[in-house]
Amino acid sequence: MTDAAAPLLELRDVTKRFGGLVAVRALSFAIHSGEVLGLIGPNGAGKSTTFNLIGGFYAPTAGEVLFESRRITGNEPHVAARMGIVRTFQHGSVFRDLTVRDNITVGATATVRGHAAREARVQETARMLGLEPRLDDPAHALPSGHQRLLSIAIALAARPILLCLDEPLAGLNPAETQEVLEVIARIRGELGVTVLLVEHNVGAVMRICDRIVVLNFGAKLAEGTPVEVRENEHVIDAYLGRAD
Amino acid sequence: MPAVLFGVATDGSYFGQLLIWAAAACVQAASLRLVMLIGEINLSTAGFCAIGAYGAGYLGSTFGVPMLAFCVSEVVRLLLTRAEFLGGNSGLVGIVPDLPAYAAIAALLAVLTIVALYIAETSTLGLLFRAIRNHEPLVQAVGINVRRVKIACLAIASAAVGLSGGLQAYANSVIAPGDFSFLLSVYALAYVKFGGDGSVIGACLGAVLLTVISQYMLGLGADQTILFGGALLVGLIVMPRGVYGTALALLQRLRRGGRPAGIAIPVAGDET
Ligand SMILES: Nc1ncnc2c1ncn2[C@@H]1O[C@H](COP(=O)(O)OP(=O)(O)OP(=O)(O)O)[C@@H](O)[C@H]1O
Ligand SMILES: [Mg+2]
Repeated sequence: MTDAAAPLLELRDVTKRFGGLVAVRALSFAIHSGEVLGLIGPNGAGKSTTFNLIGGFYAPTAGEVLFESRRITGNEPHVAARMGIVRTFQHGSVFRDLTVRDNITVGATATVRGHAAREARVQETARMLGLEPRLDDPAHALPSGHQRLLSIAIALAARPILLCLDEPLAGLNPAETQEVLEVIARIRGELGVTVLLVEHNVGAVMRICDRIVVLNFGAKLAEGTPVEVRENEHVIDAYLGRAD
Repeated sequence: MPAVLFGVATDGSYFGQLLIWAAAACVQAASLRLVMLIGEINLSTAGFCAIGAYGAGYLGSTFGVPMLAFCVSEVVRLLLTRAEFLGGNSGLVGIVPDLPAYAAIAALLAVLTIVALYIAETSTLGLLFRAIRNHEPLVQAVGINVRRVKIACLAIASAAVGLSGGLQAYANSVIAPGDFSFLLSVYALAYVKFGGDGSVIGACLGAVLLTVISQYMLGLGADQTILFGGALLVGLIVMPRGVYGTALALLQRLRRGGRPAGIAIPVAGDET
């Protein structure tokens, strides 16, 4: 049995350079099973790069990534996904020309074996996200709120253990934001999926996350509960601003 | 065109040859379209084709796929040689003894191949091809080994193109390096774009039309490259959906125009 206290995912001194630019600098943090962890910070802080490092899209320049206590650094994205790390993308995370059904089917293809099981998975996922009435519509015809739900549905269909969402609320109106937030809460509550959330909507992050890691210029600026982070002077100066 | 039709009516062997060429062209068009599904245009079609027909030479291209194409075309050729045995005459090199019979077999093989390609397109694998074209990293992110899917796509397309090369080589009797120039890829692209890349039918229609027209032009001593260049331009600029796609769209508009346009027919009891 694995140690119950061992983190689900752990980054150890991970650095990623692009030429002269250090996008992620000696970053260490851990995510525990069942948590919703927020990753916030200004534009260009290295949040999406961190996702790419966790998901195997980039290999770190230095440091290592551990998942369920195993070293996964250098794994290819599909290998990481089959282990249970599934992520969405910041700029469009659906297959635009495919129907909602086909979108979710692609999500389930690698991780759900057998035609019947896959169809059941698609139905069940669509139902959970309220996409059932739109199964035969092409993704590009959906309003942005539904598209965002679809991007989560695609990822969920792949049976993640750790679901990484890159700005799932960006560009949504308050009603749509609320709907996506409820879905995230249910994903953790009903499915027991651990969530890593990148988001600029600080209010939403504070409400939904158990802990928050703040990045600035690629380095960790702060880490803690929403209350701790909100009151951290460095975080206020670099990102949140003073409410006066 | 009338001259071609006249030729068809009077000269069975000419018709046979044309049928084989058209069949091979259809397979090439359908194969290229399959590769285009994943968002990559395969200008190496001609390369695979040459290998399929020749069975010789370099195997340095992508992931040993040409080897598969070669094997398939060899099997086809063996089968054809046997069929020819049954016909009673066998010359290894040279003129095909019973062209109409061979043409019928070639056409049948082409149809079977195209049906197989169609099945591939509508299968889960085909769904992945289209998904990759839309958002490749997202396909990886849900656990699919995109490299393997692409290899599968190329392997299927190459096997089919190899078969078409086998068909052609046999019909042409003499295989010369010039037969498999870079132009062949452009031709295949012209078939698909001119006919319409939205469906297998469009691709095949383009292949048949251009084969027939090019043979007609050849009879007049005209340069075929102009035809294919022109057809490509038509498919790329004038009719982006190709002849078939455009015809379908027109037909749909006509049909809609035929009925009282846009007015929903009330269903009994619908009004209360
Ligand atoms: N593939 C790449 N090549 C070169 N530079 C990159 C690459 N990816 C990211 N960067 C750079 O790394 C830095 C961090 O980018 P990243 O996308 O991780 O930021 P982010 O925190 O997600 O920002 P945002 O909130 O705007 O999405 C930026 O300066 C960016 O320009
Ligand atoms: Mg980002």
